[in-house]
Amino acid sequence: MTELLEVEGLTVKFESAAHHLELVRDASFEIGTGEVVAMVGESGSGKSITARAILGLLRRNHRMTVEGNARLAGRELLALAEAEMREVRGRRVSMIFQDPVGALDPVVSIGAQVLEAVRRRRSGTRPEQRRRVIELLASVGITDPELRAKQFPHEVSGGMCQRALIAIALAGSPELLIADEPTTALDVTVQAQVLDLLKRLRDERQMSVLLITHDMGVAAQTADRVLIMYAGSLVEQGPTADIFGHPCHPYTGGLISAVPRVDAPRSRRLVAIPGSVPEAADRPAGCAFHPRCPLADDRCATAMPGPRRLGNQIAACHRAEEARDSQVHRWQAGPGGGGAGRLPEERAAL
Amino acid sequence: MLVGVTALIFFVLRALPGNPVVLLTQGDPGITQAQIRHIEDNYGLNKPLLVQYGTFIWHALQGNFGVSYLTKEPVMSSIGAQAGATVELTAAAVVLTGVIGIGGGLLAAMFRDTWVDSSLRVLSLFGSAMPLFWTGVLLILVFSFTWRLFPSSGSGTFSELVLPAFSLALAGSGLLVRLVRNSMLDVMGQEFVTALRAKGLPEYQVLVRHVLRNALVPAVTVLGVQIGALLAGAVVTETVFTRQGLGSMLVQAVQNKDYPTVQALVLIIATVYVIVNILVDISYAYLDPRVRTTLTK
Repeated sequence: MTELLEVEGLTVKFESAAHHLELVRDASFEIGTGEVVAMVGESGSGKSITARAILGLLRRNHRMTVEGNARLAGRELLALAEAEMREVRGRRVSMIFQDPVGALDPVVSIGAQVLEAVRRRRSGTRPEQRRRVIELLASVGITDPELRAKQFPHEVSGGMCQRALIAIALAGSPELLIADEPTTALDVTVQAQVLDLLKRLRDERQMSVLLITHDMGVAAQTADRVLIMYAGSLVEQGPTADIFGHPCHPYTGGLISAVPRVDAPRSRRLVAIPGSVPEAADRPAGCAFHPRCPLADDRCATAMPGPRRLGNQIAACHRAEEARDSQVHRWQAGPGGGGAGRLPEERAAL
Repeated sequence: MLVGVTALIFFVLRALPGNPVVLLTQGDPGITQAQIRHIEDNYGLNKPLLVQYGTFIWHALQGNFGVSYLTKEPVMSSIGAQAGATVELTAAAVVLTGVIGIGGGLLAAMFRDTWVDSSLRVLSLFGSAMPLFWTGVLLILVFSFTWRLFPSSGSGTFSELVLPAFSLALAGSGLLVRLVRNSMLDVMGQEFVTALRAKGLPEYQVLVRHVLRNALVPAVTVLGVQIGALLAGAVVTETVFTRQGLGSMLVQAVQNKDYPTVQALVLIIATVYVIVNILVDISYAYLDPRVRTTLTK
């Protein structure tokens, strides 16, 4: 698989009188063409900041500086001038958001907002562009698109707004779609529909998707590969099957154990990771996860672990081997190859 | 509300010292008591106040505001003759207020925290802090006497309109600049603005087509209130620039205790104010589809 997006050493700093913070610290990852990559982490771990940095959306904030590289099909994005970056936005890389109603202009009709995206391609006559708006709305599963185009965001459901946003994102036929918690604000049934829609679009258009989520279940269901983020750093990444089969970072293991399972005995208690994510301002020295980590030793409290490759995975943990060996039994890959790496309840649902 | 205004102005006027009969007789010293009584009878001035008020309301409802004590002409026809100049002045000032206020607010928001923003902040503070007559006199000094660009007085031609309209607009637009700036910055903090940028829209389209439109709802409210202030300001401005118009007419009428003219003018100004604010409420529905939905439900 060829790499579409290569991110290398991405660091986002925030400076103010009181703080000097690293919101994202030295993140490196790739997204292949037609690949769905899930970025998982708790809120405040730097997922959205990473996504916005790639699209150059942090530039207006004079207190933020972005360092590192982000290459889209070999072309460096972070060095682009604003006008060039604008050509990338919406045409090569699009984005959808967590709160779909809030991500649409409340005083402009849905159709007009899609039309604005369609018009950026500067092709076709007005009636053709209007037809294209209706086609786009229909292609994301909006029934009665003619009516919906005339309606305003507050008049339709959150799921409908998210579909409209996806239609806007697709108007420029982007190669990469960044979906920032696209289902968090939606009902569970709608959530599944939107995820299915994203997978279908990936299949139809060979579009890559960076799916940002805090939900390991969503990642397991949707992604080819998973990135785990903790306190601004990528702590682990690898193919979904490997990550869920034998996580190499204790934090990943903790996230997996925290997912409720239908097939677990009723007596099983949900395992929560003790403690909470440290704020960017008071991250501990060494590995940011060590105060909450069951495997932590003296080295973890002083030295920050760098990323290391273990098989298909990359983990930033001093004790990655032990973590892998101690957690392997919990998430055995299923015997029937196709189900490998899926969560047990997923296999049951198939 | 309008009934309240009529009552207030009616009784306050009559509580003021001075006798309109003196005006009617032009202070003729040789006038007899019988003549005064005759005049009072004619104008209904010797009837109880409440009866006078009732008669005034009854006639006003029929569009009859009586005859001016000063000119002896029907009040409505003098108002008709003077209204044009004031409408012209207020309309020009409203347009200017809107352009300066919204344009300035847009600029301040676009260049927030730069020198553009700070200078606009200072200017708008000056604009709203300076009394109208002072701004007017300053403008006359600079543009009429020093640079001789525009005439300092008169009404009728376009160049005579420029300075008064500006001095009126400067007072009103200061507040509007701040308001538009702040409400634009509020809107710019919302997620949909990030989404519009992520869509690849050029910044001016994001700001003008989306942010400004969202920010206009509170701005229009203030503009509506400002129109009331502009009408009141016209009184001062017309005097400073010695223009014709309802403002000058009102000042003259008050000075001469010309009851019918004052009553008619105040009632008309109050009516215009109410109508403007109704129009503002209607414009919400145009600007914000969410209001439209609540209305149709």
